[in-house]
Amino acid sequence: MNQPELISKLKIGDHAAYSDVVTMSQDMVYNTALSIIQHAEDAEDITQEVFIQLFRSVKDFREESSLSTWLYKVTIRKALDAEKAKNRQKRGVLKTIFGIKYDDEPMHFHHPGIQAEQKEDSAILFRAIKKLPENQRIAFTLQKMEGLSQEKIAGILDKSVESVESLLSRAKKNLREMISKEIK
Amino acid sequence: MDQQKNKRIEDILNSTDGMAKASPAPFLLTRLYARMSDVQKNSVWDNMITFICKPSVAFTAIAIIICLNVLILSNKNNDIHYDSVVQESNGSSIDEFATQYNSIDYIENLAP
Repeated sequence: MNQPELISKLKIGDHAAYSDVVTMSQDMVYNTALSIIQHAEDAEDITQEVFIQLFRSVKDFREESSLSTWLYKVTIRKALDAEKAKNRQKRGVLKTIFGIKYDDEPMHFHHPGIQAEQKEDSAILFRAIKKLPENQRIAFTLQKMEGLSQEKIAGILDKSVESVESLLSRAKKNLREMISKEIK
Repeated sequence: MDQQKNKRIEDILNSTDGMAKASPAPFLLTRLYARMSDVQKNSVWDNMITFICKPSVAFTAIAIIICLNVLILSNKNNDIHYDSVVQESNGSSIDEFATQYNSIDYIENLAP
């Protein structure tokens, strides 16, 4: 089934088409959310929210981009919102008022798809990724974890290919510096 | 030493190469439909709460309540003022009556 056909079926509320999209895209959405938020349960919640959003908003989908680009965009936005909400919750009102220092150090995260011998190294990498500026982090995650091309990333982030290239090179430079400090 | 460190950094940067895709917990679709039916059940209340919580609606409601309070208070003040005027006028008529009564009594008791 091609994309216009699939979308027109989704727009008329075809449950079979919706099931197909969920089955086809669930790993993509879940992995993207997991790589950004670095927490399995939160990634699961985000995945559900993304597909509920798809169900509700597909009528307004204008087909200017592909369905996968739209899903990536929604997943990234929801993951970043969830992360911000979580950080706000961690800081708390009292901590802010009384000036108690909030520990911003990311937790150890072990991606379930990583081989056992790489777990330690990947935990260092994920911790460093979490400290990157938002745009660099998203661009690097989409390239490294999702294996997306720079053109696709540019479409998702609404940026030019050149600026994505620049984001990726700055991300790698920053990561090298952070990892170097961590392993010395 | 530097070469070793650079190699270690590269190893860490490439540690996610060949990573397998993670999958969400099974029966995602079933959970999605269950969650959507919950959302639809709550949607009337959710919409109402969302509407009430809109700043424009909340501020308008507060403004109306304040206006009503001011109106009620000003009406009450007018009533109090009217009551005191009525009481005052009642008091003066009693005085007038007493004076008239005394004067009649005085006239009746006068010797012929």
